[in-house]
Amino acid sequence: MDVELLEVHDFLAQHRPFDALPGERLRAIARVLRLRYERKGALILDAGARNDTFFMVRSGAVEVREGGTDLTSRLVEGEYFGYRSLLRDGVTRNSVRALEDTLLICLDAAVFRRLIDEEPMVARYFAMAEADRLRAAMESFHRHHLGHDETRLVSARVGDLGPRRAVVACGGDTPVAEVARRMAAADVSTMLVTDADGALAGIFTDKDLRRRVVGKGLALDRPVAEVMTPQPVTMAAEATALEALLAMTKRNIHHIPVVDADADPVAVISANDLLSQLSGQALYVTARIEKAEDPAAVAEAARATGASLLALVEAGAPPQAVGHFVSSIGEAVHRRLAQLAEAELGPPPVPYALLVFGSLAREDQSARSDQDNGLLIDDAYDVRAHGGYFEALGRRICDGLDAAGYPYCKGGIMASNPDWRLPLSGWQRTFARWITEPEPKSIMNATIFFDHRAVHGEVALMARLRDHVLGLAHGDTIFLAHMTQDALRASVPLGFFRKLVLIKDKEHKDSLNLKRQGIMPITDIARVYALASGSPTVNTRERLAAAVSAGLLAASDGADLTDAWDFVAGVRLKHQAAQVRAGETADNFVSPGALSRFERDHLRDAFALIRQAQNAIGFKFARGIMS
Amino acid sequence: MGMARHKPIRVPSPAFERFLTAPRPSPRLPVRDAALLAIDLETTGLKARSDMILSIGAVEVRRGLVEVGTAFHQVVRPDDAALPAETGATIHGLGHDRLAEGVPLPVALDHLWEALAGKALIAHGAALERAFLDRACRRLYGERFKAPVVDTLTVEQRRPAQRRDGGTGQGGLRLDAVRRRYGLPRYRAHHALSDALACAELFLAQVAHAGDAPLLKRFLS
Repeated sequence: MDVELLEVHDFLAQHRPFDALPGERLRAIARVLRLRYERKGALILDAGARNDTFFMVRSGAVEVREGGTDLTSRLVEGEYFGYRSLLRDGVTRNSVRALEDTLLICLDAAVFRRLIDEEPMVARYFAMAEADRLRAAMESFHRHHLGHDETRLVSARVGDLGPRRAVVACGGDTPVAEVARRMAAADVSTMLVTDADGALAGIFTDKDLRRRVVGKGLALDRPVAEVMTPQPVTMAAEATALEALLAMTKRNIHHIPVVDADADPVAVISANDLLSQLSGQALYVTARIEKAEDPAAVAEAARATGASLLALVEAGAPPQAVGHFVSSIGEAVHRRLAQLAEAELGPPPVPYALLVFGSLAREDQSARSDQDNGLLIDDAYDVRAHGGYFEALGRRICDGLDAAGYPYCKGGIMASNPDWRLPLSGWQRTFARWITEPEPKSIMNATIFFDHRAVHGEVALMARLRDHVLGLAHGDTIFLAHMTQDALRASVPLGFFRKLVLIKDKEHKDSLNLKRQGIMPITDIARVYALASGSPTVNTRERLAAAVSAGLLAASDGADLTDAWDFVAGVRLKHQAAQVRAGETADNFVSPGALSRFERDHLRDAFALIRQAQNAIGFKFARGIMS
Repeated sequence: MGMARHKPIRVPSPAFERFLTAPRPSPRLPVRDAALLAIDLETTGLKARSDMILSIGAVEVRRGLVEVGTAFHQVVRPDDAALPAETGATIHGLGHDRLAEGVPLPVALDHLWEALAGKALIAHGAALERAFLDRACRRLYGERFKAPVVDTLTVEQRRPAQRRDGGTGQGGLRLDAVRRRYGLPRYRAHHALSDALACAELFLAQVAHAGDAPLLKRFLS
């Protein structure tokens, strides 16, 4: 017989636990193998039926459904099923169905049992895989029982939230005194102002009454239209509670009218309605930060970031929403520290904007990360006259951030560093140098500074900088090729789990760096597409969407990469939430043993997608310079 | 190559006799109950009259499963006149030594007749296998080659084109291309045995996509 000539023999030899078998034993197994093909959707094993075969997926994928539950796991090339029944009584508890057209390697029960008996290493391997599976099942059980869908923030519709209060509305010409009387009578804190057609024109709250009317000594007979907030943010009844909370957190508002298809208001949801759905909330944290009287109070309020993250993850919030929340807390900390510094130092002598870079700019911050910031100052800046003010401002902001859990940047990318405290023309020259002289150091800087956002001050300065930079970079194929090459440098752990390619680092030996090996490669790819399409957005998901709109990226590829990002980010969040719960400092290092089979399977898929996307941009944008 | 000029040489072959007399699988048998043998021949060219068989690979399909343990691979030792010089020259990558290790064609074929007795033959582009085997049978035994044959290429051609390439326009009837459409793994090596196995797996896939319990006759050429 000539089985050694066959790749199915090599395939066994490359997969655990067969890879450790002596050659003769392996050949003996290969000689009794059978191959079976199942069409997508076919039932391979039925729960409760007898099974006499050990199965290994040669190509394709199958879905294992745990007996009596709706928990499933997905097995791909090189993975096994059917063995648990063979180790037990031969009756299957799970059903297995082909998810794709699938080729299976089959071993008779007798051969498998003899192998287990005679090779202790194989016996140990399958005993361990068993424990692994149990843990995955436990985890998904936990996941499924963490909350009923209707109470989960993610899926709750704002239209169904909380106690329905009657909508109280009036016309825009109603005098403020009359509005206040009606609000008191109806016991509401919000009055909706409608136009002649009954459509929403504005919103007027208790707070507006205090600040804009009584506080300013305005006559109470003025029409409410003069003091209302016109064109308020609204939500459709179908929007999720999570979206509403996100909108409130971003804008620091506490009431949002819910409107129907005709823009007629049907309800008002308040922050309290949402907060009663979710305790330990980002909105509460940002509100406390905005009220903080000094940097110490900011730091104190920011300490709740971890608890907010934990609450959001447990509420089932998707990773991008958690990223937005955590980033909105980070943004509030930056903004408040700048305001406090200004209060102490006096108003700025010339306009400026506080820029943030990296994950905070992209709004995908997870647990704490280092600070990356700088000052973008109006061109009226005169270093002799104004240098001292901005130096003190930068130092106060950076010290405050460090105290609030955003450690100093090791690379010195901080407003306290004069290199990153520049007038608009200085920033423009710096970016121009990076773009026209794409040396490794320039490219590295470009990848950091291209993701920037103003969180405080004269935001228009940032828009001018960004227009300038995009104008220089868009269409510069050499620069794009260098940025692409840089994006391909990240090693994606393709052989993850089977042939572990893990981060070599003393402190985190044998662990997977989800940020460096998963999140950053996608971020880099999205940045390349943003440059290629000239898109001004910095958020990774939005950049991918922009690349799809620009026709640079197939919609399916864009969706795949977004899914990969979501999944890796989700695994990271779960890991960080567990660390927060245990009172540890959150990090990005996951040991493979801590991952469930489900997570490993899907991480492997995600890594494969990332690698494909890297190849695609290499082909599209870097062909000229690839070695 | 001088082979075309050979006169028939009657070689007594009990294996071939058994192959001739063994009952053939009924075309009305459900294909999952039929026994089949997937084969691949490597030859020096496409002309059965003048080209030689270099190697034979085969593997059995029984009860809808490929029986990997039945796989065999025979390198054929050409007539001395056709052997390449000891150094340098090769035929299809097989050098003098490897070819000289082979067995004479009658011996290699006896293996095939043993395995094929009572079964249907499967090959991809089976016309070639049929022509070379027929040529060999006439020359060695003065008989014609007769066996039920499944040609996986013909089976593929019979499928509606839309189904064949999923509307992608990426048709292609070569073994690798067809296998890809059925989600079968890609093989790096190409020799008679790996191609025979590849063809056997493809046949399983075609059966799985042919609906419930199709009969053997649906696949026969």
